[in-house]
Amino acid sequence: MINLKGRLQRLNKAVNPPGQARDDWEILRDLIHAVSGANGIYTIEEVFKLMASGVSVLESLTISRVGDLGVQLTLPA
Amino acid sequence: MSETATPVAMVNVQIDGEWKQFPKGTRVIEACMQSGKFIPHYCYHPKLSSPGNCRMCLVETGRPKMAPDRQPVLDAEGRPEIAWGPKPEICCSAEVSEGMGVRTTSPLVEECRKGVMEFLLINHPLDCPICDQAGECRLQEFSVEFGKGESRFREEKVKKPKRVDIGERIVLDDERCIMCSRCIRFMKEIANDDVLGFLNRGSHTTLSVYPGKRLDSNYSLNTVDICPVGALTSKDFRFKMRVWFLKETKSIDVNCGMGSNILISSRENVVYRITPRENDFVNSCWMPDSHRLNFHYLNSEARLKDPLVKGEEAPAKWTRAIEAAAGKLRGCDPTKTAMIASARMTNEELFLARRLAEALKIDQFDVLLRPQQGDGFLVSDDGNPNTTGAKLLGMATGKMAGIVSGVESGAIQTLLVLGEDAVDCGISNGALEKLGALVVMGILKTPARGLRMSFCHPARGPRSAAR
Repeated sequence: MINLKGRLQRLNKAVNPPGQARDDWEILRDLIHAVSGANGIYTIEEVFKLMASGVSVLESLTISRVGDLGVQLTLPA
Repeated sequence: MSETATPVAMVNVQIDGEWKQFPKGTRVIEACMQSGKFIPHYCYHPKLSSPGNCRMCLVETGRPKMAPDRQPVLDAEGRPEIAWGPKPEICCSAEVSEGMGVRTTSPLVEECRKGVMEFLLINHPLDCPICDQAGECRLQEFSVEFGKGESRFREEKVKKPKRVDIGERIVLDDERCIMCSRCIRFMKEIANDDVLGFLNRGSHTTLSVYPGKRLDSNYSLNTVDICPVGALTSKDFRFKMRVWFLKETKSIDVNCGMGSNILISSRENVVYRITPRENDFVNSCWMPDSHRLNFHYLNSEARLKDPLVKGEEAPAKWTRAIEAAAGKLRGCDPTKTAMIASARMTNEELFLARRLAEALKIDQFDVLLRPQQGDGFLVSDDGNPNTTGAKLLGMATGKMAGIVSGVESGAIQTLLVLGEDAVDCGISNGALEKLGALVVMGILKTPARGLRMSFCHPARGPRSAAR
């Protein structure tokens, strides 16, 4: 998540989804696979990497580098 | 943090025999803690003023010994010799000064801590077995370290009010209060709602709300966090769970665009409590009550647990649900298809939503905006936690009105709704029913979803998807 001041912060999982429920990103990934074929995305780290490669302010970041207190981004005006 | 134009003056301080430098204005207790020393304390809080009323942080202090010419006497190493004070001093309200000496572990200091603990426990009730603070109570912790083990007090304990309903979300037990005044100072200095104060004097000192007022500020539960004992407890959390069973997860609040840092306390997949986590770039040590209490929906009856395909046996299997949704989407006409995503989704989810839109070749997608009235402190003017991310990833397009009218007019035949309720977006139930295909991903069963869905994804667990 990126707050209104442009701080990128981690939203961490506290409890497991109940029943058959799954993480949103996994559902979306599977839906994309089903619609347009496999695309090599299997882990959340891969999603972040792919996302960061297309957005200049996220370049050079990884999920673990975001840390507990977040990272201030310099957003385009 | 930010660079300051004026260089900060540094002063030399000797702590337990070691000389160190601290910026002028540093409180002695902070200098000690920064040096890795343990200083027991109740009333001191780094974000509040120091009244110095608990006396727990007593240390031995000294100032430079002065020669008759008013110059400090230097020792062989050129350091000032210290004239140790005749009596101990509280280190929370004193500021460091040049040539000052502090002893945090002398026999006198140990005696002081034991003495202060004995006084603090004189009127304290033996509530620990039934007290909600047990396990995170400073009085318990320091009793273990500095308590006498047996009481010498033969007189009657002072009786004070118990279970006082002082606010919508808070219960006060006056007998447990050790008069540290953190709550009073928080309400005055941070929440700007000066409703708490002390009545009477000495052992009869009693915490109270101003006559006719209530402790009902939207920041009131922060007083429970900073109360070092079980005097102030949260109505929402009390007697629900012993704190030592709770697993703490660092995360962030998702109720507005502030992104306050939080700790989620859970046990065996049930969330019991949310408390603020210190981050001086965002929320300091605080968070609003409205946000921290907004988690009970996670355990509600409406929580979706299984995928569902309309007209088929419930619950469905994921492979079937995904295939059913993909089947509807693959053959759809991109000009007659739209996607509503949510600025409550994480960046990764928004990125994948965008990918899905690209795979389907649709360009009618947007997120639901949630402008609101903020409070100028920790409730922002934006009810979404990730509007910035949605804009950055190109998901906030401003096309919502067009999508809504398209669904209403029948121009849009296939609708994907991710993390939102289409009805909240302004689409009528009637229009949803006329859709050729509706794919919904959400965590709660809403009336609209329950009745109209053609396919439903129960999605993530509380704060599950990450980042």
